[in-house]
Amino acid sequence: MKRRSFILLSATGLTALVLPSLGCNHVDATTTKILQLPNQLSHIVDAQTIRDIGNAYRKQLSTDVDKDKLLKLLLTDDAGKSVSSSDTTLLKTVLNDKVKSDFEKGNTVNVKGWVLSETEARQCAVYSLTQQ
Amino acid sequence: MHIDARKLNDHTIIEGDICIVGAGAAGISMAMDWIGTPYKVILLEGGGFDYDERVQDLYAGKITGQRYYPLKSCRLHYFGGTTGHWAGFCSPLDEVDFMKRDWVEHSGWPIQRKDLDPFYAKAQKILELGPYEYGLNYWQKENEAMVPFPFDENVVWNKMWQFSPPTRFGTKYKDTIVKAKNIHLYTYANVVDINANENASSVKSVTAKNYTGKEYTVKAKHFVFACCSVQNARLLLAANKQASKGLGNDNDQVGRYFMEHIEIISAELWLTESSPLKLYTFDFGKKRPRAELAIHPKAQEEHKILNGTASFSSLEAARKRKPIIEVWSSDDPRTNGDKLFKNYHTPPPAEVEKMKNNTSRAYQMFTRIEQAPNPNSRITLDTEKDSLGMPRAMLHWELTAFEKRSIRTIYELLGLEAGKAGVGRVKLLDYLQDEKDASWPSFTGGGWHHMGTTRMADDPKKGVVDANCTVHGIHNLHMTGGSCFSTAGAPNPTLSVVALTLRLSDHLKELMKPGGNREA
Repeated sequence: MKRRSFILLSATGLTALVLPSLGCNHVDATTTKILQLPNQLSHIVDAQTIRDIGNAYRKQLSTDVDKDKLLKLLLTDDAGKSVSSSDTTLLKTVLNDKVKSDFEKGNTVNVKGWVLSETEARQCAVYSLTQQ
Repeated sequence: MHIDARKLNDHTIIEGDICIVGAGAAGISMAMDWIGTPYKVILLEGGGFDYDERVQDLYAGKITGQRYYPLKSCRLHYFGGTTGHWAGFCSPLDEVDFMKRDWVEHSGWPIQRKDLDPFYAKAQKILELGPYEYGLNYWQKENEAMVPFPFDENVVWNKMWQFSPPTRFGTKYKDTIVKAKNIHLYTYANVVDINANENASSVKSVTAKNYTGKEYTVKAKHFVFACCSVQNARLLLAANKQASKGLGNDNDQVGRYFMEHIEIISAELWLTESSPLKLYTFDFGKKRPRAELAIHPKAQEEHKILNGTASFSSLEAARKRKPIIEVWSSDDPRTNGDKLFKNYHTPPPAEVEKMKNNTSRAYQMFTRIEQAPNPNSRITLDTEKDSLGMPRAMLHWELTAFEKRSIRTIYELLGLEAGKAGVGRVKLLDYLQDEKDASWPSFTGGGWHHMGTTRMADDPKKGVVDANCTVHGIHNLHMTGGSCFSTAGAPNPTLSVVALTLRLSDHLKELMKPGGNREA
């Protein structure tokens, strides 16, 4: 796995790729960049794998889920409240907490064999959409 | 003392108190337990002290069902038996393995783990292991580098293993046996028939042969068959003079419930931080204990799965190795042994060490799991006969969707725990991803661990031997070894085989005492 290439991509050039495709209301590019980056998973696998997982996860879902809906789900904390996207540090913390909570509650999905939290699967799905 | 049966006169009659058939781990352990007693013990071994192709060929047989290793090369047919090529992995069965589990049909032994504990402790010494300690805490005191994953102990626990040198019984205990005055070892004495009384309630003698064409009769008060699962069943089924379906087979149980450990690569663990996993990795040729991840009995019950464990190897190294089922493909066990050794050392150990130090973020996870007791997985007799006139054994190895679902669930649980603890992510291999797919991939293997076929059960309709390893209805005929296992558990069976044999040995000593049931 070329994890370093993905982290590098995430940190530098990704914004440029994301911006033109963003159609989600009220979610700017910086926020989207954070939302589509599954923190722990991105330290393990490369960008292509994240995209493959995202594509596979979307196919697994019984209904079509667009990017806006996924972003909305990601911007909802564990208690069901909307999270402010302006504070990027807080946003990262919320996402990490959501991933941890998913595993603790058993909210996991099996995507292409990976046992993932539902939140990070959604993050992969967003990434796959922004890369289309 | 040692007698080469080839040098005896044809139709020699041999007499003793106890006759042990088979000089492998079980047979030799039992014989040694009788050294210095006032009893004459006859120990019959089909082969000699070295590999002999003509003797080894007696183990050949056909296989149907799930792909398996050639029967001829699964076991070694000489003094010391299969300890001649075992790897030395030892761990006791778990308490749950002995229990009746509602979600595992045909589960439950008539004995419990505590019944075997004293004998496990004795078996440790025979197998040159450390103390009878299999708790992680004990071994952590010995080695602080053995750090477990921070997983929920109610879901995953660390099952410890110890490693025998491995003890090669054929060399280690040859002198002990040969020098023992009351142990009469006969090599080249292949038992080909069991001669019971008229109503098949006791055994009078066994008939032994070898390739010189000579035949011998061995009489004793008690007979112990320690020939492992395939041959124990074969001998009972072939002994059909007094019982048309074979001895001990009134209820069509002999040969059934053949079990193996399914051994198969199953998943990958990708760590967020590099770790050598000192507690979990195996150093080939070294005796350092290690752990495998096992599922807590409560979680087994909750998810209705079988008992199994996961072990770890560097992914980079493991990917360069061939599946064991492909490596162990020859009829010649020596060829297979060489190929297996080479495969374990691919890449070379120095390169593996380098990989461990540099890139141990990814590990291959390997499963060893019990096969569910299955009456259709069985040993039967072929119409073809071997060179001594015995019908050859046939194996039908049958796996089910239950085992596969259990493997999948184990890794889903481990994936959940890895995520919960934040240590990394687990990726199931392709063959486990479709829940509806019950098929087994071509690289599915076994551990060469043959169990069942004369399983232990209180009810004669559900098994062949009772809680004392005595064949139901035949008071002086006893089976020992893996063939008596009611369920397979997860660990390699040798330690349990020796423990169970020592327990039977104790029981026989009671029977041989004045007032005990001595008469055959």
